[in-house]
Amino acid sequence: MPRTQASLRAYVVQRLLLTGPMVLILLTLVFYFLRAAPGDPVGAILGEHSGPLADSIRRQLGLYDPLYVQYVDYLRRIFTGDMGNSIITQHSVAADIAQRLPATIELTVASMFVAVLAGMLLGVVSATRRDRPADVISRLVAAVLYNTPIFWFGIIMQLVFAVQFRWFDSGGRLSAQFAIPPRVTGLYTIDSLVAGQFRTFIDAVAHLILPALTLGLVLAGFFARLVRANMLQSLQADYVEAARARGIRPLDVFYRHALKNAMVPVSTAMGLTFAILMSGAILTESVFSWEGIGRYIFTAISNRDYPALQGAVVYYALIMVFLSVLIDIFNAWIDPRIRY
Amino acid sequence: MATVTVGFLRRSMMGRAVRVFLGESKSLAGVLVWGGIAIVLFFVFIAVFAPWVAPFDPNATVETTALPPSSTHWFGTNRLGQDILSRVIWGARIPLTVVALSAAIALAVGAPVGLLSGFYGGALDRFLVLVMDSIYAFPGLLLAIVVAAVIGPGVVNVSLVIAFVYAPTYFRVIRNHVASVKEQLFVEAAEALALSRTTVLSRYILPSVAQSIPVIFSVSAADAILTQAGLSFLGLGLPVDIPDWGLEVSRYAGLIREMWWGVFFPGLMIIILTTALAFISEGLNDILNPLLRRRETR
Repeated sequence: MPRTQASLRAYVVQRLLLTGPMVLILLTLVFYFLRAAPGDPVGAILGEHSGPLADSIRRQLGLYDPLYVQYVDYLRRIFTGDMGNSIITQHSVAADIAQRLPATIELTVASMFVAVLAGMLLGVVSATRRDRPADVISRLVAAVLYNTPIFWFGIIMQLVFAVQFRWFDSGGRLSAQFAIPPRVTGLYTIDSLVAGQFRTFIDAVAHLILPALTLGLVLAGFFARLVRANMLQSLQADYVEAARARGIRPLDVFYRHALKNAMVPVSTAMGLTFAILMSGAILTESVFSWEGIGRYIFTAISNRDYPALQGAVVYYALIMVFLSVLIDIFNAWIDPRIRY
Repeated sequence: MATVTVGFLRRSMMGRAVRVFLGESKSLAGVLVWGGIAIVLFFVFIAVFAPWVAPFDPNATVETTALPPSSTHWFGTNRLGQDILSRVIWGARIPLTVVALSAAIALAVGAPVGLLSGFYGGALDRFLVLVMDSIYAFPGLLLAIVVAAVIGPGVVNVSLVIAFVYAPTYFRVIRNHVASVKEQLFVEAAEALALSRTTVLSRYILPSVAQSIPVIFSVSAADAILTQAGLSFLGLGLPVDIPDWGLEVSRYAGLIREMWWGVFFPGLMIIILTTALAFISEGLNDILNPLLRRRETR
């Protein structure tokens, strides 16, 4: 046990050490594009009618300072949470983002749940019926899902389930007649339960289902491939052969021996898929008026809100790096092979 | 060096391609590659010959209002009375141009840098790997948003944006491939013969590495189209009057109750094209290089 802890600690330290430069490179890239790139980024984002507004933003952001001053100032502002004020909301960008972060977390967690569940289902169906019609169909479904434009899928989901069947509302996080539950976590589904507002909870879940299905099913296509490939591999492994030879029922061999082992790389991949998830969240939130960071980025683009865009991109990236480090450490904890 | 490369391409890649197309045409992988290529070629055909294939002028008002699909207008018309089928056919030009152009740029930048970085190693190599890995781990669409917001709209600019997102994929795969090939016996033998570094690189390493290029291309092409469509949907990337699939979807998203066909058909075209590209990559993967995985970020 002590050795395990030592190797885990070494892994965590190594992972964190690598994260530092990575974050710096990302921040530098964003700085380069949004500040230092040739041309006039503020003008490009604000469009033709910039004039005095662009000028005041440039001054507010310190764009007239020498580049190295800007760079140091930019890094300092990121870590003190002072990224200027949004032109549209007039609030500080950091506060806007803190307020919207729970919505994004709620959506991405629910989507990841859908993705893993549906992906496992498709993958297992495929792997256990290799090269038979069910396999070909599941693989086709997985391929089409993964290659579907998320925004289009979301709109079609709205059309079918919100407009035609009227099962769900087509956007937002809560119906107008419900008050937002007292903030504990910012996740409406959890906050409403904490407050004991059961009908609000049902409404929040009903609003979450469509966007989570949209984002989750697209990602499920990815997991299905992965589960299938790993299942096929572990079905050929010696321990499966041995289990069969011992006369264990085929179903038990599938689910207790093969699937369990096939899940390890799938959990590792959850870290990798985080980038897809965060990209998809921008489009999903935009379609479903889900007031998270993705939607914030979308409105910042359409309103040409330069400070909001810059701040949202920076914090979105930081959150993503932070979460992927967490997932990696979690994986190293459950799978010692990763540490070496 | 150029003639060596071309000669190699002719010898080995054509050989492989012929083997793939003849020998494996009956296997599932062969069917996937063939089917995918057929669909992509179909789209290339309608894009190139759009003026003759499209039944109407994509920008002309041919009806007074939005009409549902009918025998005259297979995909219906939009609010401006434009024929959606014609707009979809013309719209094929944008994603195909962007994919081809961005892949060429990403290859032109990512491949040589990856080749040299993997071959010479050292501190510069480690630094490049760190930079490229950072870009690679970043959500592709977010990166595209940042770059697109700054460099402004246009087909060439969007291609640059997409190339920027996918160049690290070319770099990574090629750099790692070179780093592993470098350790192999035949390279060591070449070095023992005191051949120049250029010769070793161009005649011993490059041929073995070049085979991963079509695989990387087919793997990232579908994602590139989805990223381009996503940018269009977000209102970045293209001037609004161009017929483009992603733009059409975003333009009529708010009118989905009145005219579902305005959103449905352009999006369907994206799916068909991306799935076809995915088939090609899946098939090529099985046949050429079972070890290479699909790019995991988008």
